[in-house]
Amino acid sequence: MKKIVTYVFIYVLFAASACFAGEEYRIVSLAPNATEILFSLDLGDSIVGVDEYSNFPEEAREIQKVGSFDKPNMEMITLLRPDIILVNTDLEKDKADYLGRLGARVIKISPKSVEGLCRDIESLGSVLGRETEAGFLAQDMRQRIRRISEDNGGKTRPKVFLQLFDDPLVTGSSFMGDIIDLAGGDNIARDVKDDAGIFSMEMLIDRNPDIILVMGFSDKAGFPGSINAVRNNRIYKDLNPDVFLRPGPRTIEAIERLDRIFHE
Amino acid sequence: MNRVKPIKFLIMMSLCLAGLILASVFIGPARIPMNDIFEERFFDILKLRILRTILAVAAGAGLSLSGVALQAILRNPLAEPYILGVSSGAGLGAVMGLLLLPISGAVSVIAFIGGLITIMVVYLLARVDKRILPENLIIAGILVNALFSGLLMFFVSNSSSAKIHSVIWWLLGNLQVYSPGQVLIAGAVVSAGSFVVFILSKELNAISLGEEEALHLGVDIEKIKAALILAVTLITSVIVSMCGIIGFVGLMVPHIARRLVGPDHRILVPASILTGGVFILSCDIFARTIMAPRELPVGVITTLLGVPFFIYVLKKSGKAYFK
Repeated sequence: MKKIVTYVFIYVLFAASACFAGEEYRIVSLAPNATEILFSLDLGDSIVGVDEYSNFPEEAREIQKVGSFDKPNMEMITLLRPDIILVNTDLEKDKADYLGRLGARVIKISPKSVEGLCRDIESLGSVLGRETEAGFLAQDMRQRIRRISEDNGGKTRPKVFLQLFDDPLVTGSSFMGDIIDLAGGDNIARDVKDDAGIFSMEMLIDRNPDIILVMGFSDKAGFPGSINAVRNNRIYKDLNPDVFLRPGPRTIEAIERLDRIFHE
Repeated sequence: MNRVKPIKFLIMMSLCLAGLILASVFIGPARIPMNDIFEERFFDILKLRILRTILAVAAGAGLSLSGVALQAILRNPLAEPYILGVSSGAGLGAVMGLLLLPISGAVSVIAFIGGLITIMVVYLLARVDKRILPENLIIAGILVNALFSGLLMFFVSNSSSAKIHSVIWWLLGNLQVYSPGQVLIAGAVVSAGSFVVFILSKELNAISLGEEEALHLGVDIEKIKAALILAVTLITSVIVSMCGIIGFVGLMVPHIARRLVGPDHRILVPASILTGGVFILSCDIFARTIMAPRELPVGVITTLLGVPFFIYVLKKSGKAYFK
């Protein structure tokens, strides 16, 4: 009798673990780039909640929404009982403390460079038991970047301006600046030293970019004619901001696209 | 603080403004070597600076003028150009333009229409028995401001992060325009508005004494108030739709001018126009050079420089805060 009870007990244990096999972790992602990284590490099934901007890949749209990165809905997160929470910006201290008491580990993914992104992916992989996948993803990205920089060895670096908004004129360096660098361009707003800052239009004329990249919606079409990019008709508008502005697995696509733009 | 002779003050301020206009055109983050002076690049930069300078003067003058007129009509020292809801109406319009109807050039137009509609609503709400009471106007303004701020928050909280950034950037505002057409519109509206307010400055004197007194002096208060509110609304809507919300100018400049030249609107109106232009132009020169190549929103500077200066003027004059 005792034996049977033990067998049944073990059977139940196995069954239960089999039931939860698809759910090693319960992850809440409060950042669209983190969601993309999780899916490419084959952890899409472990995500129990995402922020409202997580729209890629298609499956991410089906997941329970838990507010935005700056205003996460703490009640819903509490109900979801996550053990990992991914963010791309620092949570306020009281929220972070509260999530810690819930037993969740908060991991921030907000790289300032593409190499930083690769390292973030690798360390996330080792935390979540996906070393192989993460290593492959990061190595692939590094390799493709190396190939681009080898190809561009002797070529001149075009001067590039990135427009995030038109009125006021907003640009950014930081991660976006690194993407431009790696693709073989020279970001003329390097000294903005931030994700986003208002930039002086006359400095734009003064520094005279060869190429202008326009992200998203632009209300005014007002670049003066003396700028090289305007003269040579090299203003690019059909760029998907999600691909360019999110440090994630699609970042390499952004770099390769820019490489083609810079060296066509 | 001693009052200055009005004529002397106006001449001084005009000279000051002329000097600042020159400074604003020739000072900027981009340094052009003299041998480049005939290059197209140089002309492009010069053109931007000239457009910006004109818009700055128009905005400073327009906001200060609106402040003077509203403080008199509402007989309230806290009145400023945004008190009747133009800013929240225009802001809401801009947000809807950015979020729902992203067509090039449409955002400012929708913002302008938003500002006008808002004032119309406020005006109708405040109208009781074919009269507009100042208190009603203020309360209606506060109500509509609150409602529209709520709606604005609703739209912002339901839009994508990239679009939220656009909205925030739009609201921060900016004096840089790129087309002479826009500057022309701003200049024309502010000039016409100034003209209307200036020829009604005698009536403003009467109204600021109190409506009973004005009636005794034979002033058709309701018509004049309507004309003034229309002028002020057009000016403020145009400025907000082009430059975003520039804080504090419209509140502070009339008070400072009043300290310096006294409460007679025949002097106060031109004095405020000049002082407003001088103030905003100096702030803008700061805003675009201090962190170059970055720019600060001019509203940041108008507030950071304006508040301490205002406190100084109030303390030094040693009188009641509103007279």
